[in-house]
Amino acid sequence: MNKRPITIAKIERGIVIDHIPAGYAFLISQMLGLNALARETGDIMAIGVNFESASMKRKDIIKVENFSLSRDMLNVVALIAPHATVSRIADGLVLEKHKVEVPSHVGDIVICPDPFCVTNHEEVPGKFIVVEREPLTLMCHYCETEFFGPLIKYKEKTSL
Amino acid sequence: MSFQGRDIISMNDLTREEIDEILTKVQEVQAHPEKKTLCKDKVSAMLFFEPSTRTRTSFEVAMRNLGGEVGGFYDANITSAVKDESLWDTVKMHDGYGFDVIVIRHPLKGAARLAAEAARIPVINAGDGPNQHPTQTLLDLYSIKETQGTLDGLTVAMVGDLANGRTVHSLTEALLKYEGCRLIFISPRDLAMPRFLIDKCEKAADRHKTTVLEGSRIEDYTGEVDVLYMTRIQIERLGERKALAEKFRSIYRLEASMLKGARPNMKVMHPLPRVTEIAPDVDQTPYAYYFKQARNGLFVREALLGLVLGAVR
Repeated sequence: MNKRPITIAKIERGIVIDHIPAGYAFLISQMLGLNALARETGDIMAIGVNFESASMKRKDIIKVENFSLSRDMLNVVALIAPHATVSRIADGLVLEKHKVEVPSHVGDIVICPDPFCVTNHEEVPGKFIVVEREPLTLMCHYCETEFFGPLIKYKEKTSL
Repeated sequence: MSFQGRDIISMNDLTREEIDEILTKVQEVQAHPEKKTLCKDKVSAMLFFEPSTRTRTSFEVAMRNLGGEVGGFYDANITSAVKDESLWDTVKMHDGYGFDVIVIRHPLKGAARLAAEAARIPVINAGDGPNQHPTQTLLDLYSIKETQGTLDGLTVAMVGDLANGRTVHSLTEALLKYEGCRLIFISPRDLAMPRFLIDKCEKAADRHKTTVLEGSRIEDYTGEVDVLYMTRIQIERLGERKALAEKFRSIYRLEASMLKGARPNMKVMHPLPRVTEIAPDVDQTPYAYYFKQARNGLFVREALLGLVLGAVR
């Protein structure tokens, strides 16, 4: 099969999240609240799914204009796509580019899966410890429940 | 090593050295010449959002034995919690009333950790739902050390409901901090030790030379254990399978006749309350230790209160 030269147009200023595992761009976009952002700002946002990649076979890519990632947002990306790279773009040039790092702790970006955890009954921002990077395993700081795989549910960012 | 002002929330927060230090202090407090006035003018807030008999009484007596006083509540139904006051606010309020330490029991997991974040004064977890109950684990460890002289290299069998029992989970994790323990988990398959804990035991195999095995009959192991830790089959956890619970209760029951080949140093322990899992005839044997174990709960709580209040160093 011939390589299909499909690319997403360059952006002038903003961020590019590359090397997202195929199929996860929508999840990241949803968790970062990019849909709401695009609606409110009218800025350009591009999501590429199942692009060809030398290192990953298939990958997803997200480009957002006039946007930067907060620490919590970077952590969301790192948890969902531990091998992603994030580039900061200004004047059409790459200012900096680095691999995300899976942090040792994350804040209120995940929901504790234990229904008897105090965080699911009181207004308490969640805190989690990353106990294992591969497969990603988190431990709730409060109830000490360890969880991984589909039990990791991200808190959707609904407002800016 | 100082425990003054420190929260006691989870066994996971304590290193082996810290556990050993606390256990050493238990004897020190018992023998202290001024024990009766160690916590004079100190007041403990007892925030019991859930009923409790032994834990509550022993904390209360512990505080009084040290010359201190207790306040607080034992029934969340008569507090503002029924007005939907948050746990955070309830703790903050008590923190500001001039108490010196908070002892909290709450039905939700993680509540004690949250309380500790809300309070400036030290918080002792007296049970946060099915999660942690560190003073129970410390009294278990104290009783084992008291009777066996060490916590290293012991063979400890845990029997009964290992799936739902908070005490056995916590005790297992604590023993993994010690060297060369041999752990035997005896339960029906439906109530077996959770997989994640077996995994943790296997991980400790290299570091601490822990060995672990799962069995199904008490009789197979009574001759080779140092501690036989019995637990109650929690009928309420088996839902509609009541008949199954009755069956388990008859199988996982210890009787004096089963202890014939036991080692002389062997002790039978139980976090209490017991139902039918230990026959009354075991009480008369030299192996029965559960009532002394429960009494140790008082001593361990005295030591902890003394330590976090800075009365014992």
